[in-house]
Amino acid sequence: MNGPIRRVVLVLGVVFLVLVVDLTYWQAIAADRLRQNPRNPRVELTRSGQERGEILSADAVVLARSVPDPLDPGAYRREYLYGSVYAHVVGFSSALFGDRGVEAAHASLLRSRRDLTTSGILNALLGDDLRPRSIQLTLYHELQAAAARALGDRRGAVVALDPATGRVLAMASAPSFNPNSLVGTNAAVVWDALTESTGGPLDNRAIAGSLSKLLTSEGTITLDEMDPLSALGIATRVAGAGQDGLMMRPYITAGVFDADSNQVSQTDPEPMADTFGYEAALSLYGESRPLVVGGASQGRPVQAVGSSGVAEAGAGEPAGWFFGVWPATRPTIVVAVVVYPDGPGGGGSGRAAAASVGRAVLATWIGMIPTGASDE
Amino acid sequence: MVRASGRPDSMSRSAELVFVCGSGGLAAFGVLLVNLAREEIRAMPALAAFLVLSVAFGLLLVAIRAWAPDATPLLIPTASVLAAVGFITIYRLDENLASLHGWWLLLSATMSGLWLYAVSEKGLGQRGGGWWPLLALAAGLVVVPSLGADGGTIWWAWSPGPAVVLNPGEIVKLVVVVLFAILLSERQAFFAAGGRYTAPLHPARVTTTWQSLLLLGLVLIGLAIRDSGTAMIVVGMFCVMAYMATNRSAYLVGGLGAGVIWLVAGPWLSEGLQTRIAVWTDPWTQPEGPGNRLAEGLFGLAAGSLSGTGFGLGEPDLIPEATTSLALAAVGEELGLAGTVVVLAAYALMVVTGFGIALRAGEVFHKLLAGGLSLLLGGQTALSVAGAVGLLPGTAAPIPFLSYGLSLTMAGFLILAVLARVSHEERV
Repeated sequence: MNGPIRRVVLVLGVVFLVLVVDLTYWQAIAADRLRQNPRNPRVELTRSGQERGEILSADAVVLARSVPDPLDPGAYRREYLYGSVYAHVVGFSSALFGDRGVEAAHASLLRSRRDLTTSGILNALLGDDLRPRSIQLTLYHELQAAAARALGDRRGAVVALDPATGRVLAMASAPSFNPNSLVGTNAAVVWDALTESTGGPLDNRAIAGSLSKLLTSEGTITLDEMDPLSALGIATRVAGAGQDGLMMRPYITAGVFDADSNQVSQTDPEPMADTFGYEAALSLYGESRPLVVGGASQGRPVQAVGSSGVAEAGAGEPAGWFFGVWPATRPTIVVAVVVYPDGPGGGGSGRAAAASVGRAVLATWIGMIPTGASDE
Repeated sequence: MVRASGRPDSMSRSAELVFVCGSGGLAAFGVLLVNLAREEIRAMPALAAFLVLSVAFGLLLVAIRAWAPDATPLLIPTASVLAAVGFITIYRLDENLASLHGWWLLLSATMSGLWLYAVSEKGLGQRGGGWWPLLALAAGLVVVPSLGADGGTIWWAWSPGPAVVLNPGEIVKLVVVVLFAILLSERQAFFAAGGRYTAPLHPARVTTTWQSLLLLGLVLIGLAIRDSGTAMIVVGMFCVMAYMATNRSAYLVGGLGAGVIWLVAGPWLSEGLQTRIAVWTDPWTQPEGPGNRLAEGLFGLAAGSLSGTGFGLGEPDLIPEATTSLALAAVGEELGLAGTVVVLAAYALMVVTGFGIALRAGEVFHKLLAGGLSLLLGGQTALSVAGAVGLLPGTAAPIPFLSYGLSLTMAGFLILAVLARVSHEERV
């Protein structure tokens, strides 16, 4: 009787081996394909369902937050409270299309740290906080809203910097999009429309490249790929020229807070070693002339200076650019604008359009500073 | 006579106890991780998991030490590891179900301990005593009334609360294996001759024929209609056990033939089976949702990839029947390929140990009992996993020790107890 029993064991052993091979196929070889299968319900759940930290402006306005999903108890929905205004800076977190902007660069801080690495478990047992962190940006809500409003539907970008520190006070790009539509129910349709749109609404024109790639985990922006012709490139170099050559590394994350609003870390201003393009900016800065901006009528020291011009942007029509600095001595803001040709107001009139956008942003900033605050 | 303590290759009973408590610790750690993933730190569920696993398997070990002291020591620790992984998975999916499952573990351990005590005085005997008519009656009482019910109201399914149905299907399988072992050992010569050398109306032939008809007929017709997985297992068990008893490969050919007929004719017999076979043929064009258990299970396995998402961090709630027949997919999602391979390896170890007991057993009845029960463990696990990965049409077969269920857990513990007793008697 032992003969047949041994043969049964052998066959059962082969069956188990086949099962292991098949499991290996599904869990290792075909796993990627299955994880991306649109019929897989996890695709939508994995990231959109979890709570993420808030993203706030410098003046503590909530820009992005997670709210409990009314349709799915225990899950969360991401909400972008100002939609297209911060679309290129805050970005979005989508299970289907990945993360962009600050949502991508600080993804590990924003999501709750429930990854159960050994150190994570030990930290949790020692009473560490597992809840998601919040990110405070350097952008001022009023200034950002004004920048986005001034750009309107022109194809271009605005960047406002604090020249002494490199803080980015505003960063807007147009055309823009509503990130809420990328986390909602019709996300796939919206995504297709956005990627196929000739205006390129997903591109951040304030920097030449993708913010999520250039943004470091410390919140600063890598310079090497910062196109000197982009709004951020112009602003950074003009800011350096106004500071006697001390170019500060632009940064967008002011600090990180835990769920109880205690500050966990903050970004410190840092000078840049690479001063590529600075000479050209210095000569332009020297040629800048007084500007008339809206704030003049409110009895504040105006003394704004600026310049505008036309630059070649690839093979197309020349782009209009503008920069403005306020006040002329010891400036608190540098605004740079680029308006690209093929939108309304591009080309020859791009220069005037860029200047009018820049002046509007400067006027907003001047209006935000309480009277007397700037003359120390 | 060689005593257990004299065997140099054996793990001592204390080492077994330490191992079993280790499984309790594993369950506690898993439950802690599940709660951590929910951003909670709760000591009570983890403590309860530790106690349930340690006490249940500890009880079984104490009973074995008292009433089957010479049993081979590998079985219980391996089963305890599987039960720990299963408990964490059930807890992760449904806390209330897990606390119920905890009671089932304790109850099953007690029952198998009592069985070991009951059998300790007279031993297993050579032919299972005169128990078979009673066992057949029990199996018949369970199966016959469910004829034509097609998964509907079944009188013996007792529901003490919402979402809790006690279904003794797994006990039926165990009983059927015992019946087959009795029948095959009593009539070994008859089955070996394939009935050729006895006249049609010879008393031995008549008796054997009506015994076989009673056993197979009662169990199969009912099961084929409402639980094709169990029917397949029963047919397969009979064929392979008959092969083990007689070394006649005709039984294996017959079993495979029955399987093919079941695949071809099944869709005409049952609408549920029709869906399962359609899903098996092509899971990617069938409608989504719980009905498409193959696709949903594979999505779960794929989500786990190599190392899994970690306990509490996957979405095994999306897998239909995750606490029962697709338990391995739920394990695969959170523990990855590493987890599923370890689980399969543990079953392989348990099954090989069981067959080892069968090989060493002295009596034909004991060989068939140990061989049949090991085959039931291994075969049902293989059938369930093959259904989860799409090698065979999905069945409702749960995985012993890993899945939720009173009947399943009870059957699992009783199998351990019977194997331990057979192993003990082979040594004495």
